[in-house]
Amino acid sequence: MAYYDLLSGGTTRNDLTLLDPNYDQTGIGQANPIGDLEALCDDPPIQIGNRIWVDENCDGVQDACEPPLANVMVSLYDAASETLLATTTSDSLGRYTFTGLGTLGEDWISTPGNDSILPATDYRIVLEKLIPPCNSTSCPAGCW
Amino acid sequence: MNLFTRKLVRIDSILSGTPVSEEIDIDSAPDCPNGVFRPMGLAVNRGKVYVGGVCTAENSGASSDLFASVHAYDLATKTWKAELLFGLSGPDYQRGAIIGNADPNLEQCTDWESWVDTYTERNLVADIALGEPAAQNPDGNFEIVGDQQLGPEFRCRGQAMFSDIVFTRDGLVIMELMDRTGHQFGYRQLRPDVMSNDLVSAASGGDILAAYIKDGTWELEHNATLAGIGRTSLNGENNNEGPGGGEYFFANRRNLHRDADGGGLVHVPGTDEVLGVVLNSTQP
Repeated sequence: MAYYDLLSGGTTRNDLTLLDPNYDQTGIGQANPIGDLEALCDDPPIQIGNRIWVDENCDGVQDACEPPLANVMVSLYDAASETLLATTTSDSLGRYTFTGLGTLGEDWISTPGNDSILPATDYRIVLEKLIPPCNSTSCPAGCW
Repeated sequence: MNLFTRKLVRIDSILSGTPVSEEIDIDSAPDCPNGVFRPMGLAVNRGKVYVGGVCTAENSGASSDLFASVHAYDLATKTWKAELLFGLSGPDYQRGAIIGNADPNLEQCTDWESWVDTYTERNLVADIALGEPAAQNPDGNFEIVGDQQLGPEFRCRGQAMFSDIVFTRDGLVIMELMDRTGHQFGYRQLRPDVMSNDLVSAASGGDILAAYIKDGTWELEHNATLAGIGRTSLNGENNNEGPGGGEYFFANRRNLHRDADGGGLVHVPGTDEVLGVVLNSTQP
């Protein structure tokens, strides 16, 4: 087998020879060698996330002691079609992720071909509301 | 794929006691001049099933009747779309010689040719130094190839099967054309035409091709370049072994074989590599 390099078109190595590489001795690969190959794994998942916090000094940076925002409902939309794909809720440390259908804590609307975060795709994250909803007196000060 | 009916086979409830299957016509298959559309390569990517096939020119067609194409079946809408179609003949796509030679006049099986089922011999290129007979039978189907130790034992004829497709996460499509001659022959087998102790062996040679999907449009490599992603092969330009006069994956030469690919591919997710089966893989 040859390991073709997708970046250069060359090969990075040639090995995994399952038959004798010297065709003068066996010649099996001379006709057609191994038919097909399959990898027993999938692409590693891509995640969108991962923390909602109170930006007390409104500088856009997570500073020390700025508290997390828990229990925020977060929605994931396909930016092109504006279709709602999934929702989740930030945990006690303000954390949330979108990964794909079946991931614990993520509520995906099953959409064929759009059941997980895809590469080279634009998404929109919408922070829907605090649960329970806050009002002007109960919401923390700052930007969030 | 059902290679006989040339349809896509879908099997549902495969883990139950009562799986059900259906065969699906490839509605976007091209009209194949003097030949038949024969699909084989299969991939599943992001909710679609992709099928690759060739026009075989098997009804007395010429190399100019050979085409390869890729078709996408949308699992949600159950509709087909032709994504890519390209010819398999020069000058657009001149493949590498199955048996190369330092002397270009002695290269053998330098073109993809029509599918054939009849064993007849030709010797268009007579490499006397390798034990081949004098030039003969220009209409024969399989070219006689000599060997320093074994004499004129090998046979070649590039008959393209579209054997595999793989996708990478960043939009590359890698495709493999397998040589059908490798399936018709074995190694040191009895001759199919006459009783003889003169054994015959296949000299097969497939090819590996790349395409890039940009904004939904498929673009086949051209002279070793994938323009949509701005990527040119390190050393494959103008080598006369691929579409547009070069080939992206240039490191598929093994010994005399200019295109030594065997037909199977796999992309290990998360890597920048694709593994291909090649003949004589560890030889230079």
